[in-house]
Amino acid sequence: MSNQPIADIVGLAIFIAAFIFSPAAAQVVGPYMVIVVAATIGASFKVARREKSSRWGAFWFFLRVVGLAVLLTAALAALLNAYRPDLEPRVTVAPIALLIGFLDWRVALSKVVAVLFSTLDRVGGGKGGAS
Amino acid sequence: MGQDSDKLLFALLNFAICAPIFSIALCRLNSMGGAVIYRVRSEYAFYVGAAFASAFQPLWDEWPRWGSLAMAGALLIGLLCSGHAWRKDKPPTTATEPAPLGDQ
Repeated sequence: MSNQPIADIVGLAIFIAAFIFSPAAAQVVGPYMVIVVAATIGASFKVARREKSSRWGAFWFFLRVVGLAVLLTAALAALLNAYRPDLEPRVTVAPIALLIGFLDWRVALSKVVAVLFSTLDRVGGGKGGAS
Repeated sequence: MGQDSDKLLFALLNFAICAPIFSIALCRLNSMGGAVIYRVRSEYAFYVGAAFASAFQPLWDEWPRWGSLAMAGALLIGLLCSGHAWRKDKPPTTATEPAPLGDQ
């Protein structure tokens, strides 16, 4: 960018675009874009499933889901890679981000807990109830 | 104007077209409330993802040109034209699942 003063609206637009799409920003944000785009699609399904809310409420929910995906995806991909070295993180980040965005975690966790309890019941002889 | 300025202007114009696509699709997803058929949900979910990816494509060094602008513009016009069907944030009956027989 030159050091000339911004004289017109086109110059201002170019200045804004140069700021948003600067190489420095691309270097930082670029590697996360696959995760963010995949999480965006997953989170969209989740927004469609939940009860209708205000527009800002929906946008805030969407941001939280995508943020969660950005925070967890890299760690989960690394964990998966530790167990299955043939699954490289660069291949698995997109499906993991999509799943994190898509899944209803409250329902999924309650199902996991239910399976865990039924397994414990089976192991304990299936008598159930307090003894 | 230089080539870099052209690139940046196209990118900003593309961003300005993709932002309303993103917000219209997200608003329609929000209005669905779980009662809309899966293919319609998928349609709007992929609109959101595609609009986001297209708007920020310069961040992975892909710069939009006329073709991208034409596609994004056509999609935005399509969404605006179907606006009457989604008036007052209510999904159209063609997008919803049929009610259970007991409710009819």
